[in-house]
Amino acid sequence: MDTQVETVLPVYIVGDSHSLPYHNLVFRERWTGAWVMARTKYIPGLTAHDFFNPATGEFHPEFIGFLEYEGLVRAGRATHLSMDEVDFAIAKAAAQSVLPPLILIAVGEIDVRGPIMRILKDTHDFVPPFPTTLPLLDKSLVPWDVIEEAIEERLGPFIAGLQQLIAAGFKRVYVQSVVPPTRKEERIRELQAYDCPVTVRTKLVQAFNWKMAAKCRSINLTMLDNWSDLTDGGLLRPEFDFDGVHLPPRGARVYLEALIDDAIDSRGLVANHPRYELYYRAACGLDPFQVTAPGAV
Amino acid sequence: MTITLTLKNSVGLLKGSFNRALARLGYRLVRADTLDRLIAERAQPAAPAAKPETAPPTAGDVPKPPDGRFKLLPSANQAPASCTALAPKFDPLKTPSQLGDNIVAFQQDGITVISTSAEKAATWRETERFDRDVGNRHSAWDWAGNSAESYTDDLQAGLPSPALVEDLHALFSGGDFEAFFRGVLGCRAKVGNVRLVRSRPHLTDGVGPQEWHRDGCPAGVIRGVLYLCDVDGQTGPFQYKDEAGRENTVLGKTGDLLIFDATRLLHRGSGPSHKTRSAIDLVFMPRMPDEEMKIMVVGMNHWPADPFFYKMPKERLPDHGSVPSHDERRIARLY
Repeated sequence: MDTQVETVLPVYIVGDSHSLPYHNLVFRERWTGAWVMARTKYIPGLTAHDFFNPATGEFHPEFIGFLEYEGLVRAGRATHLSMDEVDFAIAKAAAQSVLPPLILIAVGEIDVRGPIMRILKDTHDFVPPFPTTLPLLDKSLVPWDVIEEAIEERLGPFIAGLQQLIAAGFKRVYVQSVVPPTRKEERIRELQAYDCPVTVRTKLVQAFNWKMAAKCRSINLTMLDNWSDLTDGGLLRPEFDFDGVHLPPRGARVYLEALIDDAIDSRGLVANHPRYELYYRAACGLDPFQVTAPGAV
Repeated sequence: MTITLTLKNSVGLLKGSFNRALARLGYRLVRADTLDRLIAERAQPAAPAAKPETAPPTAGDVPKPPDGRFKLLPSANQAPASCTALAPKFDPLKTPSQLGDNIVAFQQDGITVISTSAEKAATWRETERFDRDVGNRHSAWDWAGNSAESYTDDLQAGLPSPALVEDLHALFSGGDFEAFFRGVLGCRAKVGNVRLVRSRPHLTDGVGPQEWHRDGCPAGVIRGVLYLCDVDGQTGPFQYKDEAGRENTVLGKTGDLLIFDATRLLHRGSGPSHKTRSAIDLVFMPRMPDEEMKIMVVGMNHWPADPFFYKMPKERLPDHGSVPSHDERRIARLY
């Protein structure tokens, strides 16, 4: 059926407070002229560590709640890949293409600012294993492996959760990198009750993103990394320093456009094979929901 | 009895006085077994409402319902091993058909060659316009397709003229092809896409469709290539590997139509070494019993993401801006 009514391309954005700048964002993307609309869910205090519990195999309840509310999950299954008659009827009533959804997850900033930054405070610095323009301060050094271990400990459950999402059929998932931290020292003191120099905390965010990007790549997901757009001289550009923690909405749009630019050429993932199975059966005059063994027709 | 009661009252009074004294200091006396019971109760999962609002629940500490409703079950989204699994085994004696041998060949090998009008094919070769690269100007979110940017200069593409579309409509609506598709698919077919492709001679390794690949077509979707020129060993013939892994080359005459299961067969359009190869590239997909034959023209797209609902992709006109290059895109990488 050829659908004629114009609809938006939804991007489902879920995460900690860094999902908030996306709220109600809408724009026309430059590839097809489609309207892109951010559908956001802010989960207070969500961390990478608490996104998923590998011991129980369960996600954060509010994450699942969001997927259910948006109709992406029903009874523990991805609805877009469902061959269930109920999900088929729901899709029919919506009369729109059933596509693997685009999902953007924003977590990690609380992990960095909380348990990891505490290792360094204003007494220590570290040398990361990647090139950086940020200086090494005249402070005691924490070995990289200590920093790495702390990052791994926070990221482990998150990556396990992403793998579970992929296994559930959500393959068009993106991860927002942690945004560069504010340059304002007094803001960090206010938030953390201790000091940590801007170059040290910025380098720490770089290190976290570096690890997260590698882990995302290893499971064929993309971490959106717009560091060079958002920084100047290695530090957050003042025009993107909104409230000392978050990006302004136009900073969020930079990430969203990066997602669209990547997704437009990743449409090999867009074909909905279960829906074709149903369609093919119906075209052959069979009951689409009555599975028969191949060759038994 | 009286002595016992007096003793109990005295103990009770003593406990009361002691408790009141402790209460004044901010303490309460609790029996050991009562304390054990309270500790045991606290160890049980608390109702979510009992949690302070300032401490958001996390996956680690929120009570887990017994049905594990915060889990996600696995779901697959994979192309089938064969795209024509619902076609019944064809018996040419039972169902006589002009293209019966082709149906048998397709079912056996996953490919067949059908001769069509050489005159018409030669005319199309001369009159149709191969005037664009293989960049996707019809990119659409609900269609699987090529990348927006062209990936090679060795291939030229074109959109079929209305006259060609009309000719193809007549060809595939005919009784022979209706019966053919019923035989190979188990249902009637429509054309999900038609485009012109011309491959220039080149000696470099082929890219894209000139590399060995499977198309990952969804169930019920098969492909066609209609040669618009004679194809010999120097014109980049179609090649496929059979189930034993043997390489097969399909030479052909102008007007020959190859129809094949592009997911079952590992295949490529080999790179022409000396002569230009012109062809019409076709996608066939299932047609519902009450649906009219139609031929869709969707540029460098492959098939709709969802066969039940899709919009026809619009062509992006060159004067509305060219395709941004990778350098112009907003994906900036630091590391």
